[in-house]
Amino acid sequence: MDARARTEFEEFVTARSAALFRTAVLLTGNRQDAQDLVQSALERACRHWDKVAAAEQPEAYVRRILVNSLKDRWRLRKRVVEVPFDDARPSASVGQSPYRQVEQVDLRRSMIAELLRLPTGIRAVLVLRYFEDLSEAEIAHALGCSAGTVKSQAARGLAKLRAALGTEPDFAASGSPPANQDSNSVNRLLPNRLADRGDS
Amino acid sequence: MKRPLSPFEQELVNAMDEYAHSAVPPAFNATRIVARERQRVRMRISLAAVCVATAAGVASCVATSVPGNGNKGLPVVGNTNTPVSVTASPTPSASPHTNVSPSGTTGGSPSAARGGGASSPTYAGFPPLPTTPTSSPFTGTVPPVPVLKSIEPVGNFSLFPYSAIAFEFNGQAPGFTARYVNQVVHEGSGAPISMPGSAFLQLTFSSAQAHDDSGNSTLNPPATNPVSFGPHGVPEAYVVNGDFEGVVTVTLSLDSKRGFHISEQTLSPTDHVIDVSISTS
Repeated sequence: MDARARTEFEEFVTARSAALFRTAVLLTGNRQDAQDLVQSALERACRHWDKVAAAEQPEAYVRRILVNSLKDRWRLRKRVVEVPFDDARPSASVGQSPYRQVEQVDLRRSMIAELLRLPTGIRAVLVLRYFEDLSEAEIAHALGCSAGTVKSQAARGLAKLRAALGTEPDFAASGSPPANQDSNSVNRLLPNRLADRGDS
Repeated sequence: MKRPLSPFEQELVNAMDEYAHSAVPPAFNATRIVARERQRVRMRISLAAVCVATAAGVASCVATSVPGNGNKGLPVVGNTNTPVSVTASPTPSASPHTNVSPSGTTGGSPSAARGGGASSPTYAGFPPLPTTPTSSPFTGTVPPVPVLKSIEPVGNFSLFPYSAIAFEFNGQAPGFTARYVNQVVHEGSGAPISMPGSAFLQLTFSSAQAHDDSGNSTLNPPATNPVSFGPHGVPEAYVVNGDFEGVVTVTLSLDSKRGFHISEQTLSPTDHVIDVSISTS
């Protein structure tokens, strides 16, 4: 590795390691594994920096390394779900209703928990598709599979998430909580009502 | 050619974004990675050199005594000769496997966290809500007056220390004032209203009305007499004790003075909800 390559690599690490780490967090579900995953991916990238730098998009190349080492490493490992970081606590002080904030945070956590329960391959597809915002072709390249596989895996993953969260295929227009069949807009927003409401 | 995201997908994107950004990225040291890589390469070269040297040495020894049989044994001799170099070289892939136990013991934590939250009365991180009066002025234009369409309990969970009542308005969102009062009376007549509970949170919406043009209540039930929220409801009951000249007064009765928070949600330009969250802890 000559001086120029070295500077390039250092610049790459400074610019992109945080983004890679965030992806790794979603792929692994915990900080330690995410850090290890990125560290080893960066080491591999460094080892083959000539190839990485020659690639059209160095980041795509490193992401591919990252996802592949995930597959290698976690293939035999029992799936582990470890959900939120302590700092993901809701702060109920700002404008929005504390009740709704808590509910939204809860829904999002459940989503992440279910995401982490999915098989590694499907999870990787969903993370690359929805977090990295990659196209099917780009995901296919990163995972070394066909675009058709990506499509079907993504659909399966989404269906599993929906099923696990027990939600209807669509959400209310306002966004956050799961939809209800009820036409009343308030109930549409928040499905859990007091069951027994007697009139005086 | 990407299609637009469905609300579920959008929520997934938000969830991922929130989760990924909730962890502070550690500093990855490029210089150290490069240095290690260099060291690794040097190790390899020296290892190879030692191998070659030993091979050559052994070969020359063997060559003099037993010709022919030396080749297969050579790599083994090379490896056992250089234990120091081998242990010194970095083996990054080894570390995650040793870290299996901490994550393994906390598997399935969301359900565990839920269960714990429900049984224990401590809600770390959830701010207590104040009991002080609050108000928000009406900022819309006068006609049409927002019409109160429904009063619905939207939650009373063991998961969170909050319960919520939603006031749905058609038209615009009204302004509101909320405060605890000592006694509940019918506005106008001043006749006292008997309600369960010992604390009364009175909400005044203006401009607002809870009746249509022919004077019939837009609420079902009209709730001019207290309506119960059920045996274990927080709040216990509500009553519409005033609906006159663009001011609607609704009183919630509670077992005790509890903290509350009021906020406004816009579902559509003509559909607004005023949420009253009440502490249940």
